[in-house]
Amino acid sequence: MRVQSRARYLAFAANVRRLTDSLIVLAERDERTRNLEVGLRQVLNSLNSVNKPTPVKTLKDRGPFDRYENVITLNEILRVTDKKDLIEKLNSVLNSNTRQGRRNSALIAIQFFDALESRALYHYNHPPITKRVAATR
Amino acid sequence: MKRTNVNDLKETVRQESAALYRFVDSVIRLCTDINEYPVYPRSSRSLFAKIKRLGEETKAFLNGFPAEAAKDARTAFSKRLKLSDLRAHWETVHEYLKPVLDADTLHLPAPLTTVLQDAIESIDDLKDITFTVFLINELNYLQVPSGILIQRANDIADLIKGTRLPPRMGVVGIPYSQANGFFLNCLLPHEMGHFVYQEHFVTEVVPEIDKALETLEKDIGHALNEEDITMCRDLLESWIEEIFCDLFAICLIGPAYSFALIELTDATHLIGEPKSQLSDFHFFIQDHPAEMARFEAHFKLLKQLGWWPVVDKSSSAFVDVLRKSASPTKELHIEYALPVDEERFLKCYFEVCEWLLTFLPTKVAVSTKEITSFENQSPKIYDYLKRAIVPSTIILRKKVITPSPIVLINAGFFFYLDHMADLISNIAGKDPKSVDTRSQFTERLELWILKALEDSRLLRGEK
Repeated sequence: MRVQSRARYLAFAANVRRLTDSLIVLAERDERTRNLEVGLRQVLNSLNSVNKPTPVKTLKDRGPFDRYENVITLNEILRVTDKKDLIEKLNSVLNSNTRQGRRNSALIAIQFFDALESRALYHYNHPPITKRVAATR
Repeated sequence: MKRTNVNDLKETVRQESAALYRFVDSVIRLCTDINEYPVYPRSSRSLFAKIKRLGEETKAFLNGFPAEAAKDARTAFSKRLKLSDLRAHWETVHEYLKPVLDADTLHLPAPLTTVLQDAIESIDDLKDITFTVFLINELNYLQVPSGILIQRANDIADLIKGTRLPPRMGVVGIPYSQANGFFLNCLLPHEMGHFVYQEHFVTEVVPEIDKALETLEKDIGHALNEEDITMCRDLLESWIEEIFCDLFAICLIGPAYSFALIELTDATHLIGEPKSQLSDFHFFIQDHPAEMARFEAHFKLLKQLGWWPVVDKSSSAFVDVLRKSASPTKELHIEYALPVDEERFLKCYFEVCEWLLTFLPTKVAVSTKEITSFENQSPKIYDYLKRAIVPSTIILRKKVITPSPIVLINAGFFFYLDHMADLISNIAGKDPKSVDTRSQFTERLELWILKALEDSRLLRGEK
């Protein structure tokens, strides 16, 4: 349903923004919000299974990033992003021991999440024709 | 080309903030100008107050935004993107707020919505849920995702660190043309079901969906790729949520819900259709199971709850639809090409549906308590209606009885299906074969049932 699909893109944009806000707090004040680690782990779980066989039971590890619309949007951004480098930077946000290291990784992560949020908002404004329209009748 | 300097950028951010501020202000002004008239239900007034507060909080956020964005040049662009996100969310509020404002008490089937609210409140786990009704332009009740206004409002609250709406506040839509109607508004419990599903039951149902898909994975011998599995899971969840809402509605009000859905979908066309023709009713689409599959589940649940012997007495084509759907010879298909075998995927749907048929009645079997009363009282209610008397109270075996809302709702629908000609024949000069006359008296019947529902609530001393 067009309305439902648009609503999912907008909800996805908001979920991404919640994470971005946490990353901004980390970059500017070096403070970790409660949701940052959980959210980033969910995104990392999604990134690690891009274009791979994905057992159903692993979807729950993605939190709010387990919808078809989210997967489509993520894959669009990954076409122009170095996935390996991105995973490294997201891990560094979580694991870096230096303030500078965390800040630099957070700033790179913010760029990625901005691209994701922009794309989700684009799809909200211009709902895509999905592969679901391949009718068999 | 002129280069943008820092001061220009600050001015741009101020302009962007002010533009959104003005938009939000124009939306919440609608909530501010509410006086004594028109009169709104309490739940609507509460919603307006909360949207107004959210608007004020958004405006305060925007007032401080230019200074916040200027704090760090490296994060300024990202912060500005948030304005686009907020605007898109406020657009949704804008879209749905006006329909709530249109739904004052003169434009709502208030007796029916109150009765449905009472029925939901009678369920232990759901007693704190409240519903606000809004008027939609679409004729199809099923095209408006319930909960969308509340979800987007809560997203806004999170983005600006404002106040979220109370968790148990649902919003459901009815077509503006049906504002004073009764029969089609028996679909409302389905719409309420969407909110109840998301708010309360989703955590119990989704594991069953995943279990069915895990069995499918085992059967085909491999996991699907992430696009395919998320598509399949979303599709299956959409169907299961829909059938959940259907079964919830039947548990809540009984067969009247099935009849309303049959009317809305023109499913009586299933009766007498050529055998060679496979109609739209046999196809699962993106957001709904095939009607044939839905009515099959209705039939099973009505039988399970004890309603079927009552329903089976009717000779209406509406009941024939349920009888036909129960037949195992039908063919079912999916509208879309899937990465797995169609029949195997449909098996997942039927597995979860069977589980729901057992699970839901243990949680929400409100209507079953009324079956015996319905059997005893409905013939007398029909007698009253045939003589154009509102059956708020009836005299049965020398006792004055106030029929319950569930009895009235179902008696009203059965009368509409089986006895309209009897009513019209009793009116001097009216032809029961006239479509125009039948339409006029159907409208009357709707008003009588709504009046009886209102009276019943008063006479039974319900709050």
